[in-house]
Amino acid sequence: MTMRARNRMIIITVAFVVLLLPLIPLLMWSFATFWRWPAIVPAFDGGYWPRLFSDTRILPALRNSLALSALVTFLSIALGFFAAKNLGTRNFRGKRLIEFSLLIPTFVPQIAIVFGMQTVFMKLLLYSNFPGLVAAHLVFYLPYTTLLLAAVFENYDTALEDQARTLGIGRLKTMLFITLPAVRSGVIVTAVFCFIGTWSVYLLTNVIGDPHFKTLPVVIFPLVSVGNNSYSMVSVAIILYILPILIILMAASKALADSRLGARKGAI
Amino acid sequence: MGCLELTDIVKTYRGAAEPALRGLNLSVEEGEILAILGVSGCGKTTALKVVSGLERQDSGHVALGGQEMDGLAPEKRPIAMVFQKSLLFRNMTVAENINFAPRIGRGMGKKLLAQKTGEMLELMQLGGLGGKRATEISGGQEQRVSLGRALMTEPKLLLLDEPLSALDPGLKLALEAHIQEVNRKLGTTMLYVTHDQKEATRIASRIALMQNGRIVQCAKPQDFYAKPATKQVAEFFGWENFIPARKRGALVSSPLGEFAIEGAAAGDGGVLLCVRPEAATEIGRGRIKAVVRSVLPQGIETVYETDCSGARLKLSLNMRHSFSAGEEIRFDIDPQMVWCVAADRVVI
Repeated sequence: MTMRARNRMIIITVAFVVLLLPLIPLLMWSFATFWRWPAIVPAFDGGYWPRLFSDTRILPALRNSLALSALVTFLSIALGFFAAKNLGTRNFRGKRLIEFSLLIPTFVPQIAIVFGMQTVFMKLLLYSNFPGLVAAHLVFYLPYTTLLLAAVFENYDTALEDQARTLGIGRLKTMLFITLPAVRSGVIVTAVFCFIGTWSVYLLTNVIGDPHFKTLPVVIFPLVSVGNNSYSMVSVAIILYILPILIILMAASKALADSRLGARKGAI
Repeated sequence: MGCLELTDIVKTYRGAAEPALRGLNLSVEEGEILAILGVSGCGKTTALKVVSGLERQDSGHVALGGQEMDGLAPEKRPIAMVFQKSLLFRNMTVAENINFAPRIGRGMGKKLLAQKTGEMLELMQLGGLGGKRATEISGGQEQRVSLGRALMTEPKLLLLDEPLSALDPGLKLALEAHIQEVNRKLGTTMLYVTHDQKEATRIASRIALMQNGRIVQCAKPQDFYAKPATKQVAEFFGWENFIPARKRGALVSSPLGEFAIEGAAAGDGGVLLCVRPEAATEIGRGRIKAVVRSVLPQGIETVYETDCSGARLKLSLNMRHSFSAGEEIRFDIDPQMVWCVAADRVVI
């Protein structure tokens, strides 16, 4: 094994231990209804897993979370892509002002905005439904994604596109074969950040989505906070909450390793 | 009519105080290499971008083979461009870079694509490198790939924007010869931009000298050394002495004597007599006298700044001659190394 491969293996092992070690008690609890002192391990009886499919809260909330985060991530990337490209690659009057205004939803506390949003969304019939929540999440995550992508495009050389077009390649194919491969890693990282962000939102989803549209954080939070006795159920819900993020991080890290980190000037 | 005709092209970038191109006129003949030569910022690259369609001119016309190009997108023009940076697509191999245009743009069949790619790799002296990643080749090879990739589009006109400026001198000479060879073999018309007068002289059949967004002279390379159109052109091509003189017909009278100069564009009256620093002959025996003011050794040659009947004259002499400050030099002037250009304000 080469030095590089060994170092990589050590890093991966440490990362797994740091990430997964705290999950072991959670995993054990999910398969056990009771775990009382002085037992070192619980009596495994399957815990809440067998009852999961008859649960009316966790699985629908998981489905809602997946749909919401996936759609918000897709829309944020799709809608923010060209704005970010212009911000990252061009200089124009008012650029700093636009960048500052995109920062506002990030540094102003959500609580200062969401109750005002609730009133407006009610009037627009966007309250407590899926389209409303997508719109509400986009208010925060579209600017965030645009800013992250703009930073990616700051290292992108638009001369590559000029080169492709002088070779007779149209705009669409230039975007597909030149621009996207050049910024692929940055787009993947941005998408991961956006997905994790929307996946974790509690306050906004609760205020705009309640009572008809609940996501996993909205369901889990009261289960944890009111001293629920069913630790197994809570553990199952938390595992289901963490699992997609772990899967996405692993998939993204592979993509990053394949395509090398970030876009580089003058290169794809 | 030439292959490429540029007529009164004006281009001002948004927010710029001055136009980048101020009525550019140029005609490029079929199959020739024409070099646009000029200092940085004179508008050379802007001219290429307007021709390629990457920038749109404010006014004026671009025509290729008699066909108007104005308003056509870059990908619709039968023009390819090689940039200063090789701009290789680094996620592709050398062969994939070479055949990028026919593969992605035209969807060429695999068999024909492989054949054409192989031929181009050979022409570019890249045989055996087709399977290498674009990141694994040298700077000179990168520019060959870039050139081959552009030629694969079979362009009517190939634009080259200082393609060799980042290469070391030896490699530069080799690639210049290679570009000329490609031009001879394929007959591709080339518009070559450079700031290096020696490079332009070596590679081009004609040179268009550009200053402040205009072509100030377009001629064969040797004409710039022998017959510059203006004082600025003369300065760019190494003329150093500009002596106020008076012209009447072909006869130019100056403190250095009278010279018969045929074909100069400057009209009768006050002109500037241009004298190349290497123009001195008959050293020590000639009829012209000058007093040495300063001596500047420059390798095997020495530049003497002299005072010649009130006119400042720089003379470049080889190391066989040696003079000191204050000494008198006698010499003649080679009539082949003098020229005259118009002067706005001449006092004699």
